[in-house]
Amino acid sequence: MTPRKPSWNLRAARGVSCIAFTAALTVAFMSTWSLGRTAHAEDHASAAAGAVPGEVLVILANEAEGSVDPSLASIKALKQPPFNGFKSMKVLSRSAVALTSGKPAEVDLPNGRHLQLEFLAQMPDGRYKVQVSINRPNQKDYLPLLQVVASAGEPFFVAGQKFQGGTLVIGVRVGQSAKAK
Amino acid sequence: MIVTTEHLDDELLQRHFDGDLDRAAASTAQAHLASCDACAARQRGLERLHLLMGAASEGAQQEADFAGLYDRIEAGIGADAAGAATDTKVVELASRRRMRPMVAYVVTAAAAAAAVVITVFHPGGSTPRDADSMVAMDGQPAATTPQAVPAPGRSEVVNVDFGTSTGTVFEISLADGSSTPVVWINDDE
Repeated sequence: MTPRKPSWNLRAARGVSCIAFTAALTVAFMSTWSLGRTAHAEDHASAAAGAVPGEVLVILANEAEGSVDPSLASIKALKQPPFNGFKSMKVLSRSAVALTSGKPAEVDLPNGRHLQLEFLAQMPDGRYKVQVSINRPNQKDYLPLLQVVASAGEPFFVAGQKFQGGTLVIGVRVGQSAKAK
Repeated sequence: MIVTTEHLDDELLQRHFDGDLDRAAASTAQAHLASCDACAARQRGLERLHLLMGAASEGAQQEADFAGLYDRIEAGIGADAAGAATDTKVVELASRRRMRPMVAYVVTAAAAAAAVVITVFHPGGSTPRDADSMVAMDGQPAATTPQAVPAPGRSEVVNVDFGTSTGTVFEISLADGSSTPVVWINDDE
């Protein structure tokens, strides 16, 4: 096979083209690599800060006939006694909170009380130990202390407060279940 | 001609493959390759990698100088067949102005792989909180997704103080064997 010898101009053009091509690819690679490192660093920073996602769901349940908010259909516990005795359920609020040790998250309840949710520790088996209190401002008469070791993403409930002829059912969930990770 | 008994290191082998060595160094390297099966095998590995990367990068093929590549491969095969050191793999000085095709292939593959990784795993690409929310964001029932991995342990109340109120702690047993703790507080208001 006879080697083809392109003219100098053609070869020079090829060289410039190749360099430009490589430069563009290098820029693209470095940009994506940098983005990846940034995202990775943010993940580690979040984990290091100990922020655990949580959610507080406030439901007004009533024994009078009515409808159940369709968004509650996936919460199986609400279909079991004693909750299935309520004929209507309405979502009053849903609050996403970031839980950090030593910094309680506070959620205002519609009856004037405040719910405080504090992350205490993560257990060796992955569950979260949290502390809940529900009180009026500057009072500790209602629920001064509740400590729960909760499975990640699994709700627990605090219920019984009277409000507008119904009952407040408060669902609390800490962390994300394995399916969401 | 100088024949060295030391194995060619990776950099020297790569530069020889790319035609970056001067005539004397290339001759020495070629002589060693002719007498060293191990280094010759590494050289053939470089050639195979070069061909594979070229096939995998269709876009880069448009930019690559395959005429030169094939010429060099043919020259290398000829050198192997002859079993002696030759100068056929020494690339003329002008060709050094060309970008190394192999570098282009490697950069192309790396950029493509990085783009795929970032696209798939970038945390902004999904909203796990929304997917895992107790209540669907659009007000519709949240999808009931089975647990990929069972949550270790079970939720339980470990301490409660009702203050001046009275209340009850119990669990709701669910069909899947799990249970949900409930704290029910009597409210006289």
